[in-house]
Amino acid sequence: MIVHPRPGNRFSAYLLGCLALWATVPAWSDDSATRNISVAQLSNSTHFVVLNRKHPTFRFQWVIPPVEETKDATLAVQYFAGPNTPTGTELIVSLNGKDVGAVREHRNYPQGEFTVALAAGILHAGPQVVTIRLRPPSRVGAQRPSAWTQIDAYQSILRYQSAIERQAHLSFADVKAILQESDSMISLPLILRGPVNSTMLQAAQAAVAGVALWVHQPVAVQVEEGHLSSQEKVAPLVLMLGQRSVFHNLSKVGRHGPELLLRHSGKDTREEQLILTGDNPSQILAAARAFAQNRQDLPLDRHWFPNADPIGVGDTVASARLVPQSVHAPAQVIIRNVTNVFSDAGGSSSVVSFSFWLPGGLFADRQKEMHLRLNLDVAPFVTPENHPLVTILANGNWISQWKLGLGVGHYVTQIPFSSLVAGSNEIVLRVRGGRVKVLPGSSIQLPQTHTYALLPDLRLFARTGFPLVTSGKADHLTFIYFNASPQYLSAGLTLFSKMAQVSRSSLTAARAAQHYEGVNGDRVFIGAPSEMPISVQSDSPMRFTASNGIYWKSPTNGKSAIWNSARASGAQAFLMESAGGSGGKYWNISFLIPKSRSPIDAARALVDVDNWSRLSGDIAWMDRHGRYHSTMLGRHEIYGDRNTPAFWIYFFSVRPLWWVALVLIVLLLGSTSAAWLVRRKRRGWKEEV
Amino acid sequence: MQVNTDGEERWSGRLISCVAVACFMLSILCALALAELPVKNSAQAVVSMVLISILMLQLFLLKRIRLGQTVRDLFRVTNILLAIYLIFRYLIWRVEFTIGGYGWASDLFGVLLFLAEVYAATYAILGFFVSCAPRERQPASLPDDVTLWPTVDILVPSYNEAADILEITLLGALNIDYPVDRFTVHLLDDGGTDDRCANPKTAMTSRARRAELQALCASVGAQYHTRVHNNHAKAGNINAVLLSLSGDLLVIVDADHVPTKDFLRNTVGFFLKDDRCAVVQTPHSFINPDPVEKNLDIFRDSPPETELFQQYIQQGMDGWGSSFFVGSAAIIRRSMLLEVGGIQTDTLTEDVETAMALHARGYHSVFLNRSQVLGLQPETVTSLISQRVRWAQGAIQILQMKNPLWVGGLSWAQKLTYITSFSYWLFPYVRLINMLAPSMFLVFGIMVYNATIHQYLIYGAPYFLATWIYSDFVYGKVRWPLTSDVYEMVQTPLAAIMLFSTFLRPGKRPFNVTPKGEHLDRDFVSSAAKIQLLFFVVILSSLLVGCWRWFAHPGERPQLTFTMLWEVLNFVIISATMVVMLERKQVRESYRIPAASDVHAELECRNGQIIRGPILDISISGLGFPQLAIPHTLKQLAEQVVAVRIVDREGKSAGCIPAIVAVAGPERVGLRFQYTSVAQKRVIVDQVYGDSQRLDAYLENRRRRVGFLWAYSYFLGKTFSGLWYWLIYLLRVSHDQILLWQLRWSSRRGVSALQGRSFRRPRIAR
Repeated sequence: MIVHPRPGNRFSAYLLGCLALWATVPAWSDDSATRNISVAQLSNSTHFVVLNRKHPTFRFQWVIPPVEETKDATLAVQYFAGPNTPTGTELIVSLNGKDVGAVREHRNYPQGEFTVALAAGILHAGPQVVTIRLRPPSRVGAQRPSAWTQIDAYQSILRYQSAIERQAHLSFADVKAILQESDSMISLPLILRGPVNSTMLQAAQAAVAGVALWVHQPVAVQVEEGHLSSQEKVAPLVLMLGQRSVFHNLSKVGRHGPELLLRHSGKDTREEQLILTGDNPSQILAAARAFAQNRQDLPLDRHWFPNADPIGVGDTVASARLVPQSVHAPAQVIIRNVTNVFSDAGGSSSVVSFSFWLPGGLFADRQKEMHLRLNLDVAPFVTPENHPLVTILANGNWISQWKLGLGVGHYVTQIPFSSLVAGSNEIVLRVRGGRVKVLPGSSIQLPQTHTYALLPDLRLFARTGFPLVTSGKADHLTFIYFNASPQYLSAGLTLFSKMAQVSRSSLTAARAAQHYEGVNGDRVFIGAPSEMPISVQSDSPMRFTASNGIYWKSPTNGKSAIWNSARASGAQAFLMESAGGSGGKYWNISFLIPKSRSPIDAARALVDVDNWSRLSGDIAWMDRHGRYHSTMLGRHEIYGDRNTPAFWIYFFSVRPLWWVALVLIVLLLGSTSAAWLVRRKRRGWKEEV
Repeated sequence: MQVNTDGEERWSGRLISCVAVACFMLSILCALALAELPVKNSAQAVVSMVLISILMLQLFLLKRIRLGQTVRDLFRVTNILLAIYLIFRYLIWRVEFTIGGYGWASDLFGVLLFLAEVYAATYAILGFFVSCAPRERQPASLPDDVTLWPTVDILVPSYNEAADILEITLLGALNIDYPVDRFTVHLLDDGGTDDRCANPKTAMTSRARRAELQALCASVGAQYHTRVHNNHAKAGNINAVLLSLSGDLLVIVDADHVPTKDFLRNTVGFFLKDDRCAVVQTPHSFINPDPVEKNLDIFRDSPPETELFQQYIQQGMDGWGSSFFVGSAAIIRRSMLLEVGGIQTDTLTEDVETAMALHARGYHSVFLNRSQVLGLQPETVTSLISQRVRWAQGAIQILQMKNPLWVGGLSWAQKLTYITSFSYWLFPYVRLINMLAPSMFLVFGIMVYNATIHQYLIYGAPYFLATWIYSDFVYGKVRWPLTSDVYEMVQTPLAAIMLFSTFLRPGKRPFNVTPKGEHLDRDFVSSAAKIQLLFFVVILSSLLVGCWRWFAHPGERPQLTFTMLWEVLNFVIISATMVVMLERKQVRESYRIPAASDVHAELECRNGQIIRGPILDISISGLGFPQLAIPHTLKQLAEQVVAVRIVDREGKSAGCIPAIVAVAGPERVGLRFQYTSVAQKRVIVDQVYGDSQRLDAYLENRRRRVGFLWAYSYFLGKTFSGLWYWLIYLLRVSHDQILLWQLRWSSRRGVSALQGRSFRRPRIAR
């Protein structure tokens, strides 16, 4: 479809759009709504987008949620052609790679607007990619370097009719798309029906972890007991946990055992409900664990009756590396989910990137390297004689650079283990002079590593959940809720969801408790500072009293640390990491929010990317503006098995002065002995004379 | 009771020694274990910095403070231990991370380079052992009763040395301060043997030589010996007269080594004090520059290359009772020498072989670090290489045929020191690998040393610095950085070939006598330069390709930085070597040494007037005065002076020597002696060579410690200066060639195009 605009004649463009809209009217339903979104909103671009010879393409996308039916989509584009733009230059609009409309520019009529219909047949649930491309006239010599066209991103509008699909179409496969509607943080209401006990809390943790592992955004959990309060903001998904008896018309008569149901809330919103239920709390926990562990293989239905003993196929990434042992043999990770970005406009470079995740506390001695084995298909941009040049970057650090052969080839390069970090690592292949495709069979070979770390380290905790999560299931982890009010439960579950995300594990073995007595292993304390028992604060660099008093250590490494005290603090919340006894084997995290503050807000602020990524040291506190600040008050301890030679390697690596001292002692022993022998020799010579 | 106490003390001393040895061994083992511990690079960097700081502090204290022997020993062994740890750590790191991994070529050349480094590291550790307890001896006194002094035969073996050289040596020997009836000087002429006199090719010269030398011996008072055959070269020459001698001891001095007067007084006493003393060796000192010193112009202001071995290594070996006979300037007990069958003849290094045989019999050797002879070094590059290759071949022969490790009777320390001395001569292969390895990467991209500059700074540089600091600590006065590199590179190409043939056929090798006293009347390029030029081109090309690689393969920059620095160092070495390859003109007949400060000259004039003045320098052919010290014009002086008398502090004079004014400069007036008798020459030989203290002072002037950077910049300066000289030489040769071509072209056309023109030579600033 080619539209020839006339000067100031927007009428024809509108007419075309209106005709397109009119043609779809019979398909409207009552609950549909018209949506108008500017291109600037969709693309996060500036007001004007310039297309020229170097940058002839402008790309943006919008997401159609799976529960939404989209009709009569049109895109109205306002443009302005530059004075040197040759007549016959076309602006082409493509949807999901297929051309859906074009306009031919004319030098006499530089300003124009045209509307194209985005055919319903091409649209589908998920992200829709729209491309506006500048194509110069095909005749020889007409292509001018100075030709350009400007797109007004504010005035260019995407319009479509949105209708909510009925729940009959829902399936568990849609959960991800439902959750992705939120942008920066996902608000997750959690309704606990029935008595709140440890099992229910454990089920809530598992369910929250299951949801959190679907998405990358932080999840802010808001616990409600009974019903969702009406004044709360509507969320795309509501988690509901309770025994079957409290839910009506849930399943067919006679079904027992764990049950999961995804259903529409019944309100005139896009809110969905995920119900996890059973005949008793244990079955609810089983349902939650099934949801969390089998998130990759949930049935294509909205109703699921998993066995009480859930089949576990989850935690593949994490458990492959997070085995509970001190030595990790060299492991191989298959490279998947490669992102290719071609900058083919200039014909100069392309970028290939992929990520992999490393658990926390891995230590590789000396200058061990990770082997990156790549099967690459290389095609040059210009002439076949030119060999593209690839630069390897690991987490932004320059690693190596070499020339690629053309065609399919196998390449191996080494990446120093020291350039990798705990958590997510990004490897980037920046290719100059060609485009590269990573073929199957490419892999990463990790060296042998040992589990050692200098703790406490909230940065490490924030990146991987280490040391509280050292196995995929978090066998030794217990969340202890001193205060079981919905507010504190919300805070705890929000933190739990973040731990699941950063550790990439469903943490299904993590327990929940409301008392600390008799609970061993790694512990996360949730409550108010005044509720913290003195006995669990013995290893903490900051201590709280029941009367809101605070004592904290001066940040010295000496043994005779000075304790400071204060009656009141402006801090809105505290996050602390401290040793939990047992010779540094177990560790505690304390997330303490004074009763006068809002635990939900403190938790939301904590898991916010800006604050979470800045955590470090052993204590962090939130100021009244919602920002967390970190520092190190206590002393570092070495975490890991002390009965292996690797411990000493790690010890000397992080304490080089001890290493120097040992070397000097050994060498001085030798030199003193040798000097004595020489002296004796000289004495003998004197006697000879 | 006294005996018991002594016995207890001895046992307790031994026990403590055993504990000390055990502690030392334990320390070495622990150092090895610690070096193997794969602690992170950051911690290794901290260790490197601390250890190097300790070593630098020690060196600083040594240079600034006069330290006692005990403290110096402690510093020395501490330095050794730290260096050993750094060597262990470096080698382990090399094995684990830097060898090969980039194809078969990378593996092969990487392993080769590593083996070369293992050799260097082993040699360094053996060198630490040798030099850890050097023994500094003082001359042994002689009893007052002269009749108790042993009788001595002084042997001067000769093959093709000129009579004037031999005359000086014989006169020097005859000047020795020892009872005349207790020593005899013998000239052992191998150039006038019956075989040679009968051989039509050599008969004429040999007979003439025999007659000439017989006359010389008769005139100076020495005994002339020759033999029937020339078998076993120098060793056979000495053995031929051994049985005919009657002295208790025998001194062997090379034909160009002139002994000092106190030679016997300083050395004979050792034989009286120790019945099992078989040999007393003194260092070889030289009056003339060797070709490296001459062509690189470093003779005046840098220490002699030979002193490292001739003084420090021999002292170290003496500490272990294994200092050895090095062919000349030594005194040997004749009975013990006869017991081992005379001078050994199985290898080219008959001296070391003989010393080993004496040590194997349980006899002792002594090294007296006092220069007692002054000799001549080879003048040309090819002579130097010929001499060193002979030593190297001899060492390899001994390693193959009489390996000290398997020789019974030697102590383990003697075996180690001998092995250290002989294994040094494998350096040509290591040097070859070191010189060519960077090119493998720079030119062909073969990764032979996979390390970045940062990693090398952590592991390699500390090792390098530790060994350098040790060198500076122990013998920094006589060996500056880069000196060894240049000397080794000069010898490497030809020595590598010759040694390879020795490896294949270790049996009899021809004994090539080192030419001495050569006169070079013009500049010329040594015949050894061609192969060095090849190295020069390869290394220069590699550097250029490396620059290209820097831009073409930016991914290789981490390794390239390190390799380029290595290649730059190689380039400095090969450039200096190329400078050495241009033989510079040398027309001096005899070498001057500074005169003693307490002597002066009296010039006798025709009119009977005597002019007194200080002496600047003296040589066999003449002496020099400062111009200002003489209140006469040059013309007056030339007309008046007829003789010179050298007068000592006490006013004594040995005699009057006829002389004429030969040369006069703005600051110096030179007199040439006009000898009329042997006695006159004997006086001058005594003046030039007789005083060992003056000789020590003369040699000491060249010894001094310099900083690492200073030494490098000094060598760089000399190298650039030498390269400039090369350039001028090439221009001069090209100019002459062009004129020659023009002459030929003109003569063909029958036109004298060059009429009125002459060959001009460009001025060369020297």
